[in-house]
Formats: sequence, structure tokens, C-alpha cells
Amino acid sequence: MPDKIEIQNLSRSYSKKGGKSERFYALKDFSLTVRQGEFVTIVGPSGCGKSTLLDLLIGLAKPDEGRVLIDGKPIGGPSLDRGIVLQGYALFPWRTVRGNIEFGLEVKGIPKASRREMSDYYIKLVDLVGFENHYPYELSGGMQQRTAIARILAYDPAILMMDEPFAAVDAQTREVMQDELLSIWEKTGKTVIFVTHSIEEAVGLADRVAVMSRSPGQVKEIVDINLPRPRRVGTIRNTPEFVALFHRVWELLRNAEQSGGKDDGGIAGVSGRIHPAAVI
Amino acid sequence: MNAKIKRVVISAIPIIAFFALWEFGARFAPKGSLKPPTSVIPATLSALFSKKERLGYQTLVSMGRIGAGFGLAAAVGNTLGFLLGTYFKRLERWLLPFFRVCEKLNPFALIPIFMIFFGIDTKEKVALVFWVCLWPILTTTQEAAKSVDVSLVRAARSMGANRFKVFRSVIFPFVLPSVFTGLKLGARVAFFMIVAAETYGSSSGLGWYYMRKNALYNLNLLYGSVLYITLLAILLNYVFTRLEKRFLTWKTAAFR
Ligand SMILES: Nc1ncnc2c1ncn2[C@@H]1O[C@H](COP(=O)(O)OP(=O)(O)OP(=O)(O)O)[C@@H](O)[C@H]1O
Ligand SMILES: [Mg+2]
Repeated sequence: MPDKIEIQNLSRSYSKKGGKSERFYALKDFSLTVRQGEFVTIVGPSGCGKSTLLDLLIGLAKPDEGRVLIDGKPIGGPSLDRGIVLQGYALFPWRTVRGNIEFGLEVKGIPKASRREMSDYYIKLVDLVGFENHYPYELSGGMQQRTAIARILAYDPAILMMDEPFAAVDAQTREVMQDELLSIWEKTGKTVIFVTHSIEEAVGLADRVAVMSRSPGQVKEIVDINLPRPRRVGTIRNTPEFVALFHRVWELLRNAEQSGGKDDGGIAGVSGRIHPAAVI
Repeated sequence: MNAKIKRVVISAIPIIAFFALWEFGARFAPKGSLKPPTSVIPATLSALFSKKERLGYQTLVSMGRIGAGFGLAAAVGNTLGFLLGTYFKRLERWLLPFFRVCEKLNPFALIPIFMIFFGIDTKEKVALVFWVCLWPILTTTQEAAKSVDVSLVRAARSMGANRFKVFRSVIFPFVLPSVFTGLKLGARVAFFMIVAAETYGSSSGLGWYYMRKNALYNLNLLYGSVLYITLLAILLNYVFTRLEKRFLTWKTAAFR
């Protein structure tokens, strides 16, 4: 498969509170290449720059240095060939499920009748039939989640990015959503970049897991996940191969925590989450 | 449904009690100070439709002035509020202290000054209504525009929305409920202002009518017009409250 996304030496800094000229690097010299149709998950301690990275990839922010190539061409601003499910969904509260799903189609300039047809299709796909005229506040967290995903799928971007999309749903729903995402991905062949705090999720979904370290945010190591496909997350996690990979990522993350700088909040990422022993 | 009827009945009790007390009190009050509602209300109703009294016509005159001043304030206040709260935040910070001062000027004290600039008839009344309406409308819209949820703007932009689409589909619907809140506040002060403005240097309108009944010592219509003006204000407030509610549903529900 050809390279879809080439991230080359990306850096992004913010001015430090107080000190004027001093800069704080949320991301420093970050490089990663993602192949066409690949499923890459990114894990790393809280505050290591995962959301920042996605902002740069989508074009909502500009890097200080480095560049992002998509199909060999540098990106400009946001565009309909990339879609992101932002941390916290960001559904439009004054739009119904259908209205939310049709937003990107409106931007695309698709006429009303075909918009309706397409939104119907995605409402079915994410299993929200009967809720198309509900407003986000009338939905459960999981339904909001599915609306947010359908909203991105509907305008058919070649690249899907997701920022902890399943963080707020219960374990059962989460598993259903993961399997749904996998089957959509298998059907459509989209390239996916998926940020998560859950090692289990990262290993279960991915072709490769990029483990990030903090201060500055960089790729610490990339772990190849050679588990068979098509996969179902619920069944695969009982295999010894899965457990070994889980343990490997867990070790890497623990080291990333320890080698991480003095910035606060770092431990929140993994500590308190399941130890490998709990899974075995 | 039953509960609703019960609520209406319960909230009607103090109002009925008030009228009963009024009726009762009028019989004991010193002569020539208070008329009972049983004589005030019929007198007012007939004045409303009589060719001689023309209370209906005076209502239209006042409402026309309110409409013009309020409409102008709505157009200017909302446009400015949107612009200052979104794309011109620096200008807004610079102007804010000035706005705060304008807002706090006592509008009743401004009446003579406005008379100097705008003469004593309709123009001056409209200008006064415009002035008092402008500040609540401007401030409410501007505050709402400033607080637009950034994550929603980011979501829209990530889907390739241009500036116009972001405005039309994110900023505008986000601010709309507050536009109606501002209009409601504006309509309320507009009503206070027009009656006050028309009691000075005027020959028409509800305020003038009221002062004239006072001068003529027509107690029935003096009390009658106070009652009538209050009812009008309640009606106007009701209309805007309904509009506000209609557009506020998602907001109250989403951020509860
Ligand atoms: N607008 C900003 N101004 C200043 N600092 C920022 C800004 N946005 C992010 N940061 C900082 O950059 C660092 C990376 O933030 P980012 O949101 O990318 O982390 P993250 O890896 O997504 O964390 P989490 O896992 O908690 O979501 C953090 O230390 C954060 O404080
Ligand atoms: Mg994040």
C-alpha cells in the first residue's frame, strides 16, 4: 500500500504562561508515516500532544515546523478529505441527529433530497433509526457518539481521525462500537488515526500502535500488531498474542511516564487503568 | 391538563383578591380619590372604542413609536453585538467602558436633552425608545456571541466550513436565543420609556392621555389607563417570552 499520510518533523509550541519568550513544546519533531487504508492508534500519557497532533493533521492549527503530506501533497486548511471526531463529540445542540449528520454534506453542496438519502443510510448504519429527529440532549452518551461518527462518515472522507471517541461510553457499548468501527473500516478501506487512553482498545483495533512520550511529545516507539483480521475485539483479547502485545505497550507507556518531564497530570494517562494481569 | 387548570386558578386568586380589595376600598376611600374597578373598567373599555376619547388611537400612536425605536435598536444592537462579540473583539474591549457608561445614564434624565436635539414630537420619542432599547439588546447579543462554544466552531471548520457557513450554521444559531432575551428586555424598557416620554411635551400617545385624564380629574380613566398600560406591557412581555422559550429549548436542555 502507498503512503497516505507523511508526518515530517512536526513541532508545535505554545507560549508559556508568565515567561513571554519562553515556549512550551506540546509536540516536537514528530514523524510518522501512515499507509493507505491503515488503522493506526496513538497512545501516550495525558498532555503528550495527541489532540494537538490531530489538530495539525486536520488543519485546524498550523505547525511551527515540519509538514504534513497527504498523497504526497502538503495540506492547507481543513478539507473534506479528512474528518475528525473531536474529543467530546461537539454535536450541534440545535440540530437533530439528521441535521448533524447532514452538516458536512451541506458544506459539500449536496442538494437536499440526496442529503436526506445519504443521512438515512448512515442513520441505519450506526443504528439510530427512530432517533433521527431527536436533539443531542435527548440522546444517551453512546448515541451521541454514534451521531458524531455518522456525521464524519456521511461526507465520506478518505482519512478518519478520532480523539478518544469511546471514552465516555460503558464497556458493553464500547465493544459494540469498536466492532462496528472495524467493520466500517474493513468495508470502506479508509485510513484511520485513532487516539485512545485504553491500551486494550489500541491493541485490539490497530495495525500499528504509536506510543508517544511526553515533554516533548514524540513517537517513542511503534508496535506492529500482527493479529489476524477480520477481528472482533471481544474474542481477540483472550489470545496469548494479544496479551503479549498488551504487555509490551503497557511497558512502553510506563517508561514514557517515568521518563516524562515534570509537567503535572502525566500519571492520569495509564495509572489506575487495568494492569495486564487483570486481562490474562 | 388538570394540573394546568389548577395552576391557573391558584395564580388567579391574588389577582381576584386585589380587585375585590380595590372594589371594597373604593367604597371607604375619601371622596374623589379612588374609583372602584366596576366603574373604571367599563369606562376604559368604552374609551377604547369611543370616537371622542380615542384611547385605541393613542395606543396605536405609542405602539408605532415603540415599534420604530425598538425596531431600529434591534437592527443596530444585534448587528453591532454580533460583530463586536465575534470578529471585532479588540474593538469591543476598547468600547466596553464607554458602553457601560451609556447604559447607566438615567434615561429619564435624558428626556430634556433629547428634546433639545430632536424637538418635542415623534422623533424625540422614537430616539428615546431607541436609546433605552439599544443597550440591553446590544449587551445581551454581544455577550452571547462572545461565548460561542469553540469546540462547535472547530467541528464545523474541521468539516471544511468557510467563514460564512460557520457564521450561518454555528454562531448565528448559538446566539439566537439570546437575541430574543435581549429583545424581551428591550421591549420591557421601551414600554416604561414611552409612557414617561409622552408625559412631557407631547400631544398624543398613552403617556399624554394619562396625564390629560389627570389634568381633567377624570378618575375613572386615570385609573383605567394605568390598568390598561399595565395589561399592554404584560401582553408584549408574554409574546417575547414565548419567542425566547421557543428558541431556547435546546440551550436550556443542552446546558442544564
Ligand atoms: N491552546 C493551548 N495553549 C497552551 N497550551 C496548550 C494549548 N493546547 C494544548 N496545550 C498544551 O499542550 C499539551 C498537549 O495538549 P494536548 O491536548 O494535545 O494533549 P493530549 O495528549 O491530547 O492530552 P489528553 O490525553 O489529556 O487529551 C498540554 O500540556 C497542554 O497543556
Ligand atoms: Mg487530547
